[in-house]
Amino acid sequence: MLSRLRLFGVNLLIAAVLVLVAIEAIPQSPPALRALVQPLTLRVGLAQEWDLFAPPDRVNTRLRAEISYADGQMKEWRSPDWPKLAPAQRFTMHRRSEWLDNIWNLGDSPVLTSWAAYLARSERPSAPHAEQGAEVKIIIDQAPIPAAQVAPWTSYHAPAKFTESTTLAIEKLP
Amino acid sequence: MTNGGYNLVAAWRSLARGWHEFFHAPRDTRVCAIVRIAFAALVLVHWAVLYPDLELWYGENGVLPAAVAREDAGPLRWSLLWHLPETSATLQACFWIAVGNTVLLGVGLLPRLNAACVLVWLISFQNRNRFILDGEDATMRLLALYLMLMPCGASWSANSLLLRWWKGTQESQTERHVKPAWGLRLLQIQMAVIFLAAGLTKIGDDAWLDGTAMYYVARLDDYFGRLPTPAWLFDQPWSVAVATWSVVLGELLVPVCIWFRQTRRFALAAAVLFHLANEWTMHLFLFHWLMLVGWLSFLEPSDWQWLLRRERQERGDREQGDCSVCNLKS
Repeated sequence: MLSRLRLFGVNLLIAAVLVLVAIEAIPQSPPALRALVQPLTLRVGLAQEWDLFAPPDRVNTRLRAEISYADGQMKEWRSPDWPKLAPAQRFTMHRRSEWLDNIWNLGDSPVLTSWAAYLARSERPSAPHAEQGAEVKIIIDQAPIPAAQVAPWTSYHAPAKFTESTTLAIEKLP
Repeated sequence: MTNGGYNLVAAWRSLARGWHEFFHAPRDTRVCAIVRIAFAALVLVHWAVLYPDLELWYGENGVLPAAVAREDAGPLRWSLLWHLPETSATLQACFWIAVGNTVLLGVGLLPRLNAACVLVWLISFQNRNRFILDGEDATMRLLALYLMLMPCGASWSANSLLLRWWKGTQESQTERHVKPAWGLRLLQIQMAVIFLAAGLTKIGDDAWLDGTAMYYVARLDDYFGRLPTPAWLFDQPWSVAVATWSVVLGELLVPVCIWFRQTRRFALAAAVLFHLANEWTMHLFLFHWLMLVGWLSFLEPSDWQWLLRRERQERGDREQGDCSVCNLKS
């Protein structure tokens, strides 16, 4: 009796996992249904999305920051030039690349403010509370990839041309 | 009506029998052990790479203080780190406990419990800073979850060694390595779903349909260009189209063909080739290695017996060849 009950419980768990995975992962599942199961999938670790390069990004980006400190000093920070780094460096710096990739389109977010404060601090590590009163201008440089329909194609080996610059945020730190 | 009713009952019984056979039939637990050991090794690499930047990503003086992270995460996501003092010492302690759990999972000491602990740490660190995550983090989390549900300590583990020593029983190889493993089946389904979902997303996108997606992907300089590839491969419309459609076709066919005896090995080989090719060309950290660990769940004992048989056969052929040479000389 106990083993039958156990088997029933296991089968129920299997069925629940299958349903949750299907709703979460399959892109055609209704958004309302996904929203319904998300409280559970996020909590148990089943949350997932597999839009791997679909659609592919059509722009290369670099971030930089111009930092004006309260005492008048200026500093500039630039994100790494990824193609110039060795594969091992890119492996260990993978999280930095993800961070920069994920924050640039956040808009007006406290995440950008806290990052700006970190940049102001880390660019003058010897000055305690260097970020106080600093102004950080965060700029994005973009190199759009020409549409594939436009011939001839530039080689994928050719370095990206950063032609567009936009100010993402001006953070005035307290 | 009766006939219809009878058919329905028969269909239900047959479905129940199929379900039971699929999920509860005994399976070789050495496959679970292979997945467990390979997964633990990759998670240790993940922790090792994370360690120098712990303060940067999770510290109060890093890029994302806890209060900002918590506000961004919303009410559904949770992290143990939010319930502990926000100090450097706590962060270090949590990190080393997570490493300890991963090592214990790898050696197979209370592996299911340690898989659960690794899952809790992965979720905690991932939710503490969501802006440094990518596909590999979801894969890592899912692998930990399914390991928790499978008999991953039944073979090649400190647990099984201790248990055998304690009981003093002499089980046969077959008895020792065979158990029902529905968690392994769930991992297999999850792997197929990942590929299928990726393929289904792609067929909804113009660039993947018109065969130009790989043109864009190859020009993303923060991901692409890991190891040398011939220039023509991504500079010619025909080769780009072939590459693009191969990806879509692979992602749609592998999850289907992997379930049939006749096509399983081909599908598995295609998946391995796909991941290795991606690993060659792109910087995606541990994503493809974790996926390969997931695909290991489809290994059958006959696979390595087949490999061993081939090797033995080749060795036999070689020895025979040598002998014939000897005979000629003599």
